[in-house]
Amino acid sequence: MYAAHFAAGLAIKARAPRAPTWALLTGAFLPDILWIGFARVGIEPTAIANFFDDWSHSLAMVISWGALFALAFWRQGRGVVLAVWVAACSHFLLDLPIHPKFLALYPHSAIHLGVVTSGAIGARRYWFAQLAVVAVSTPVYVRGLAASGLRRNLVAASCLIVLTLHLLMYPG
Amino acid sequence: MITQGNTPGRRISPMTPAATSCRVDGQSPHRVSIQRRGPPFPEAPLAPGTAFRIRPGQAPERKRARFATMSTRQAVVQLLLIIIPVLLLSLVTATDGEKR
Repeated sequence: MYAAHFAAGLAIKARAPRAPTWALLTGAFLPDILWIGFARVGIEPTAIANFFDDWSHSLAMVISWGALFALAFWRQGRGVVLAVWVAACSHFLLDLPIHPKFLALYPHSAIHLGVVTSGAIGARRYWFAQLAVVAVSTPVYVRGLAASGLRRNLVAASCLIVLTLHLLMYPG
Repeated sequence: MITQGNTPGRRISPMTPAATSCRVDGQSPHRVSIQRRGPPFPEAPLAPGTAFRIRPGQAPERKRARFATMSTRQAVVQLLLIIIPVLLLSLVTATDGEKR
């Protein structure tokens, strides 16, 4: 998932306006950011044949990495810490239905969770599935932030950015 | 040639389940046995029909051959695809939390 993680981060922002946007969005992408690093050094192979992302994307690790990252904001209050942690955990929930490989419960676990792999569903259907997440998250964000006083044109601009990002990712 | 189970001569197939991991039994470089469940060979993505030699006692998962790593360029591009929108969205919602 790509734009859907941004949409989820923004939806959480609407619920926790005191939390910095960058922290929520970084939290929402934390497993992917770690995956990039792990894949670069070879801890998590990226080839389809032996794709492995348990250290960045397994349930236990997402919860742990998210907690570590969220704790960096403890000075901003419990609400902000919780919001950032939830943003990080949202990554697992969004990746759970569709992912290149079913998500592990913990690194090297024999138990894997998921509904369908992105390879099986196809790039186009995957894109539309993400669009559905964006479509659900965006109104939450719009309603929440509009109520909190953020100018409507800025809310609209951020929605437009997310939608544009998603459109740019259209397969083919 | 790495073999799977105790059947010398049988090549490890790329279709070997991801949970299968092999280890040399220490008696012969041509015999390995399935010791435990774990990830696939992280450093040695096996192309179809691939065979390679290992020394006795050297676990295949330690073999530093043909990593399936992400290139630096790919990693940078992937990071930028995250960082730029994060910065952009943070700027757009610049009335950020602390003020409200």
